[in-house]
Amino acid sequence: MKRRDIIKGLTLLPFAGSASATVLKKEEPLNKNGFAFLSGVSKTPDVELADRGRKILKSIGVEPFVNCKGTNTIMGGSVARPEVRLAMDAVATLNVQMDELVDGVGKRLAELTGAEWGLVTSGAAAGIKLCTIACITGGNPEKLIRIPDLTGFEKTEVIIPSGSRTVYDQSVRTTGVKIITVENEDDLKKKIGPRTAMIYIDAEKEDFLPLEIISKIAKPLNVPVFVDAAAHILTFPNVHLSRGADVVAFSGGKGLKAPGSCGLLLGRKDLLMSTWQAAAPHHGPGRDNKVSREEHIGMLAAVETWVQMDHKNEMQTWVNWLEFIGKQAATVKGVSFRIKMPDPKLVHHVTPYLFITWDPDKLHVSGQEISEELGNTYPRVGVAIYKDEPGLTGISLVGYMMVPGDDQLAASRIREVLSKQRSPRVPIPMKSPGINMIGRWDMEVQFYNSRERQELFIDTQEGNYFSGTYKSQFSERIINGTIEGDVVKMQSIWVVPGDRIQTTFQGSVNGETLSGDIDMNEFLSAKFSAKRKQSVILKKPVVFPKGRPQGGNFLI
Amino acid sequence: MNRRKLIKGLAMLPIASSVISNEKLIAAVPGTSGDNLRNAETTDYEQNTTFTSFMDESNIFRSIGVEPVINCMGTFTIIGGSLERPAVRTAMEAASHNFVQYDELADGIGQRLADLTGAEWGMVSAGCAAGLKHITAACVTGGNPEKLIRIPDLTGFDKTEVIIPGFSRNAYDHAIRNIGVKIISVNTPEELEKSINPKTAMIYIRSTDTDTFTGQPLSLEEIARIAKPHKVPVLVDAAAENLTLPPVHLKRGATIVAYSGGKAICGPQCAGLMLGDKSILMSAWQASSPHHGPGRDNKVGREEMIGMMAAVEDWVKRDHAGDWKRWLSWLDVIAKKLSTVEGIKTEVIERTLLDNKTPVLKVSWDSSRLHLSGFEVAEELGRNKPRIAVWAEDESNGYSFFNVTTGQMQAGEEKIVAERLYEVLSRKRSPKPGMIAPSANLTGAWDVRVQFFSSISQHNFTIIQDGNWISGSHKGDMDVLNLSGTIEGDQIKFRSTKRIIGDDLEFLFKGIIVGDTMSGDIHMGEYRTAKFTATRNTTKPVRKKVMIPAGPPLAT
Repeated sequence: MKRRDIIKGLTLLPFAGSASATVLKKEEPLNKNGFAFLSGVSKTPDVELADRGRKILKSIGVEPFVNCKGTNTIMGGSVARPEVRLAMDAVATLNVQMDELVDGVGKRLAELTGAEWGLVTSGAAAGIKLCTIACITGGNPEKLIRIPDLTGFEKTEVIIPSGSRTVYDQSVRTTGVKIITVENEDDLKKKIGPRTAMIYIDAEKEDFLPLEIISKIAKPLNVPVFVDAAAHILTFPNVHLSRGADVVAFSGGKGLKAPGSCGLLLGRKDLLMSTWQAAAPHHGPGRDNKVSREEHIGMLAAVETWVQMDHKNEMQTWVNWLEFIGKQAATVKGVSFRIKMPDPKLVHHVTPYLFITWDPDKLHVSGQEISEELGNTYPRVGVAIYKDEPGLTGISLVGYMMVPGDDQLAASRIREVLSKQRSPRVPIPMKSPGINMIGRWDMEVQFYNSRERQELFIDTQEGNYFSGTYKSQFSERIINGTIEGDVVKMQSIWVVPGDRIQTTFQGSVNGETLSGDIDMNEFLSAKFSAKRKQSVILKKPVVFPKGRPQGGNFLI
Repeated sequence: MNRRKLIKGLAMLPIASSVISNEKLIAAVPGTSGDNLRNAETTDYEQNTTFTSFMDESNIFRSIGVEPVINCMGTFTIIGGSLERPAVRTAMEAASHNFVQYDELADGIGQRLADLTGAEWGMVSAGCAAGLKHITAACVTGGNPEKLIRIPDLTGFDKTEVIIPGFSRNAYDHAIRNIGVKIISVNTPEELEKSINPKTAMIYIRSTDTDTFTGQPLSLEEIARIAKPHKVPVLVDAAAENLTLPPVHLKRGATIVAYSGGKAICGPQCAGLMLGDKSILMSAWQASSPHHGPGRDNKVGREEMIGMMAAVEDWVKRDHAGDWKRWLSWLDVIAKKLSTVEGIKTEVIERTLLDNKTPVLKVSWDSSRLHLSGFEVAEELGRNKPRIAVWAEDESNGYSFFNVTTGQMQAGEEKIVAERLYEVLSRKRSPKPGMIAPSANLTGAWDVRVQFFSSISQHNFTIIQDGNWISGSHKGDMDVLNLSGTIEGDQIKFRSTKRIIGDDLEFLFKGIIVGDTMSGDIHMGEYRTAKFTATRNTTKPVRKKVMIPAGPPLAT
């Protein structure tokens, strides 16, 4: 069935059928009308369900929040559409053979999107991993079961333009491949070869080396090009596939508003069949990337809903919400707001923005402080910082992750927080440093279930500020900090291709020892204690030999 | 709140939700009255499936041409594992409306799971296999993100080995191998003692292996006793087991025990439940999505995390004896119906082990008398409507049997199953015809072209034929496999198998021979399908005599 007919069919409502006991497989799908019967329905009102959700979360001491910030996975990505949740619930009581289900879903996704085939994975990152495996194995299970040991394999390398090296490329690396980083077109031509399993690019970083150029080089050599478009919206036909990608990956928990722990792959059927072979429930390296029948169906329902829904209308709803919040905020004296519409050509993070701004010297509070307060007091509202500069500060909100009712909550809370009376800020002078930090420190870091000896070399201090080198088992990096009284705060950031670790220390000095907590950002926390190393000068003259050694020197 | 009080609380139905004051700071309301899941209208489990309801054409799976299955097989992931309990679905639906910060959520759930199960801490992963992977990562990194981001390249790491007793090697240890560790197999307590060294990150066993049972030389107790002085954690994989409170394996000495959410516990299909040592589980959570790193591809949604917790609450208060009685009554209905079929014997087996603990009806018959094999019955039941999945075997004593497993059956399905089994088993069948004479002699060497989903490989067969029977070898890309099968007329069928530690491979070839060419399809079990064409290798022997020297070489 053609995509156009399918989409037409979507507006039709339920269907009837008769039961007949026939042999399977010879039948055509019984209806092409999709899940249209689910459209916009939910047994219980959303507000009531959300309230129930809040109660469950509160019963374990967890405070939810209104999301005016974006699709960050650490905050739960997006809220799945009602159609998605209903479709998931509808299949929760039925058993189904997973390969058959995936074939059915794959075909329907193809019809809906115009891609050759579609596959649901346990998140976009899992899609990256499984498709990398497909490119290595070619669908041969003999190879599959050996991963990540690629000894004797033909395809063992993945090329990534250096602009596309991100935290997500670890999903490529976990398959055991060697990452070959390329800088430009010539470099790519030089490094592509029989060992190249795949080329990976991040759709948001592709101006570094455009997809068309990569594809032109890769096609004749049969090297698949994988485009990671996790935060992108669906386009028909898919813009990345039309421009030469073999497979494109989307996250379910972002703009698509599908189940949050799902991803969607669209593209070449042969590759996606090998990808599915590598995915759970099939045993092998992808068994840890499990997708339930509810999620396969939920993702399909999200795509169906996406195809048939009125996106303009949805955009207008978001704008209305943001306008309402802006107007409420602007009732506070000195606060103004502005709505920014997305560029119509934009295909990722398509949302209107609301900027609420004020003069920090008049309200005596910064955008960062308001954002912190909104995010950490009840009812919580997640917002981003707009600007923090002399004369102008503010917060920034997005509309696309909000759900009905959030506009009221956010508006009243933001107005309340902004209208609080605050006194002018009096700069508090820094306390004079308790000790001079210069010297060598032996440090012990207590991670959750291991300890590591590390070293700190502070070589310069000027008043409250100091700098030096922080040495751990795998890195040697610059560290900067302050000491006020006996309180020490220091931070060191380590960036390697594809990864970033930010280590922030806070502790107190007690004589010659220093101890406290470490914050490792998304990698959670640890503890540390450090002792100043008493340097002893080894008073032993160095003898420079007069000639070549004449034997063992242990007697010297 | 301690576990006993909590469980007492669970018995009080329903609890009024506590009022949360408006301006409360976050996390100031830990574990209030507990079970708000109860407020959900948990529909009674007796939903009573009927033939009409099961065959309903508007079924969402049928709308994409996929036929659902009645599960009399057990909690196999390939047919969807288990069905979620109503309370699980309600909790998931409720949780899908709110945004939360994932670390806060994991902390809240961790504590609640500890309260409920009596373990020190709990964690929800994206399936049991994902949990095994995260825990392995935790034992390798100790919570140090500098190590985390390097996985699976363990160069320079202290901990790089995982010990697995030979009997516990299985397809799921791939999740451990994904971390890049070296697997050390041991078979005796002495070997275990000797193999433990500073590089040992962890010991893994599977709880269902009888060799780990109490009293065995390598029982869990013994392994824990040997591991403890070396501070090596012991991970017990109890994926398909009933949850015991407190978990019996932890009492017996395990550091962590891993359960699948989508099996006995009837939680979300792609969730896993990890219980045990808090410090390791914190590092495991650090290694899990949403945190970037090697576990970002194992995405678990807030819905699944809450759903898993709801499943454990449900488990704690569920009437397990009542379930058992009801399951027995279903088997009674089926056994009664089959008692009139001549030649059919039925026997109820009440499993006592924790693994896949459910009553089973064993239906057996003399295969030569009914002219019917177990495989044929399973195929007939599984491929025709109404589809029923059963486990069948053909025994060496000439008897065949299949099992009707109750754990995942839904109320009412026993009637559909009874009718259908009666219909299939009471059908009269004629004796099977003898084998047709072969139309060719396949003896010799063959060049084989295998078309996998997305690649082509060159393989070789070496075949010896004796009448209808053939055997030989199949040289694949990585291994030489044993080949055996039949030729009847021009129809060829053979299987080639390879048992590798931790993995099994089976290629089933089906095709025809025309002249010197065989061609057809390959069925690769869970790894799905491929195609093949084989041509006779007519290379004549190299006519060059071999000279054997009389003594050592005079030149090399």
